Amino acid sequence: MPATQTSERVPGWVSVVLSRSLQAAVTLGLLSFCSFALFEWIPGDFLTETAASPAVSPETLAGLRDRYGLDTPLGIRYASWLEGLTRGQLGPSLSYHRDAMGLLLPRLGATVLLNLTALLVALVVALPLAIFAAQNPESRFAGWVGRGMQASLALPELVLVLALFAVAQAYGVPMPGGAAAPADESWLGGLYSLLTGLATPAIALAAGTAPSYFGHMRAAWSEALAESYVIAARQAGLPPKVVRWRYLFPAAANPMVSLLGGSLGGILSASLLVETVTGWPGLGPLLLEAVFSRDVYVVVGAVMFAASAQMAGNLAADLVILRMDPRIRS
Amino acid sequence: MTRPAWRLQAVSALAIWYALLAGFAWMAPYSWREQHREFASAPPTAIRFVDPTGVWRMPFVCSLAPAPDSPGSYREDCAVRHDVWLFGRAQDGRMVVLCPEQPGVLFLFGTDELGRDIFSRSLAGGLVTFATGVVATLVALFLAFLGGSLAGLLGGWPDLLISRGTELLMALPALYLLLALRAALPIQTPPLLAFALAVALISLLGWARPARLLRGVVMSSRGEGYVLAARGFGAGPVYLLRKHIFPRLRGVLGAQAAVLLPQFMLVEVALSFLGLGVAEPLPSWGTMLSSIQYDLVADRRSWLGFPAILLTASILISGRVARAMELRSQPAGGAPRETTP
Repeated sequence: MPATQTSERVPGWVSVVLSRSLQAAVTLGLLSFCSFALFEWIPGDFLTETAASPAVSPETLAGLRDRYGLDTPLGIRYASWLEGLTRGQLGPSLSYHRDAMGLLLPRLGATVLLNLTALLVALVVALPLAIFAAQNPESRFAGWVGRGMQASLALPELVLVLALFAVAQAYGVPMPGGAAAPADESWLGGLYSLLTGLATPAIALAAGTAPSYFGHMRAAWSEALAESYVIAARQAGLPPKVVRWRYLFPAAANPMVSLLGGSLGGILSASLLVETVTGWPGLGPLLLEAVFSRDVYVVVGAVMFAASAQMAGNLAADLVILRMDPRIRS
Repeated sequence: MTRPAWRLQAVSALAIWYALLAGFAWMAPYSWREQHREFASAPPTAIRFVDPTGVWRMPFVCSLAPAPDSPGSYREDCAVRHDVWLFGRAQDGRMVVLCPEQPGVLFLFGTDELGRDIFSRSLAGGLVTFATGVVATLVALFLAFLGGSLAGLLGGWPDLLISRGTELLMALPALYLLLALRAALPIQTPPLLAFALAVALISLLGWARPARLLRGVVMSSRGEGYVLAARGFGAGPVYLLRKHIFPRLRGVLGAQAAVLLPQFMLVEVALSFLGLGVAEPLPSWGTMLSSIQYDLVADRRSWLGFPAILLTASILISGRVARAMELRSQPAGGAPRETTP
């Protein structure tokens, strides 16, 4: 069959990566063009506020407009933006007077770090509990954990982070934006202040996602427990450890990973709120600031970065599934 | 329990909760914009039953006065009592849930820094948040119905366009997109416009998921025998949609409404919290929460957190109803639940 021939020549993951990258490129292209068109179409720009001030002369305004290219037509501006993108530039930030790429990259790093930490914390807490609950459905402890998770599932992320923020402040846990960190410190001290600053936002974000992971993992594990091949493996006298990690875990992890991939958009959105409340220097606060000052290139760049992060996460989830599930690989 | 009876119960639980909210907002002790400057940042007023001599009495509040030595703190003088009436009449003749005798004041949840009653404001703010959620849900479902049935019935390039469009919307982090869209619009807006903007933005981003669901249902019903038969008798697409397909969509629409409402309310809260939604002096749970960010701990004004409790309760109830409705309305193996902000 020709189909299998191609899949033998090209490994599955390569074609997945290629097709997803193409999709992502199209999405990002559409997104950026739509953003440009939108900002073109809407009246007012970054200098509208400045223009309202009587102290600014029309000549100064015209000079500023000229400098930032605010009056050039949409097509030309978009083309020059694309051209800058090939050189790793995202356009000038109007309020920071430097390229948006340099502003956004460290912010993207901070957001990714926060999200990965939160993901790790949520999984480390939720998965063992879920597996225990699925293995021991009669256990009273598992019942209480399940009820607690169920109840906290409906807790709004914003309320959660505000409450945690209040508690952390009451107990003097340093916040990421806090002035507590001295300027000159060793890398160890820097790491310490990074970790303490990371604690509150990461826990807030993890607490918002852990209940959903718990619920899905418990369901997936219970389902896997009833699979005939698991029962057969157990009947054949395989040690419980082998059954658990070679038979149950891959079967249960598969829906988990696709859940993770699918929920990334929600997590990034929740992360924006968490970052804003706790002052974590991620993409969220910068985007918010740029929205208020109509710093167009920063807004577009932040959305592009967030979208890329989500699509990269989706791709990673797909690759993990491909690696784990022999049914899809073939 | 049978399905209609069960659904009735779920919907009435929601209806009762929001009817209570609306009713209490209507009978709130104070207006949402009434400022009691002399009682700025006052803690919640205690309703007492025992007077200083240890005698049980009808519920009363003690006379409240600013402490002369330290500004911002208040002293209760229980020698002067003001009775509190349930559903009493205020001075202007309005019926009020908990009405203190003049000239007593009763701030059930305390006041904010402008001396506005937080209890009254959380009720009014809840209505603003709820109204945004309801209108955005209706608009989004209307858009989803249009898009889903167009794509499902016509197929071909409209289907391609709508399907790719919804995929694009869903591939992007919602709140980021929302903020970007908001960035293109004027930041300072009159309250009504801000409300309309919030509704428009939320529904514009929120219609994609229900549209995909509806498209699936329309597609599957297009192949059903009764639809084929009706088409054989010469029925046009509009007639088909109205008579044969819409009845099947109703269940999905209802369930989606239940799912979207709490999600959209939370988006409104997030938007207002970030300062991009409803603006002062109009309250919303979002704007009210934004003030607690710094004041809760720094000033020890924990009563600012009351709106968060009401919000959580609302989302809890709506979420319960939504989850159950969704489970009931969906055949096995339906679309997975989504976690949204």
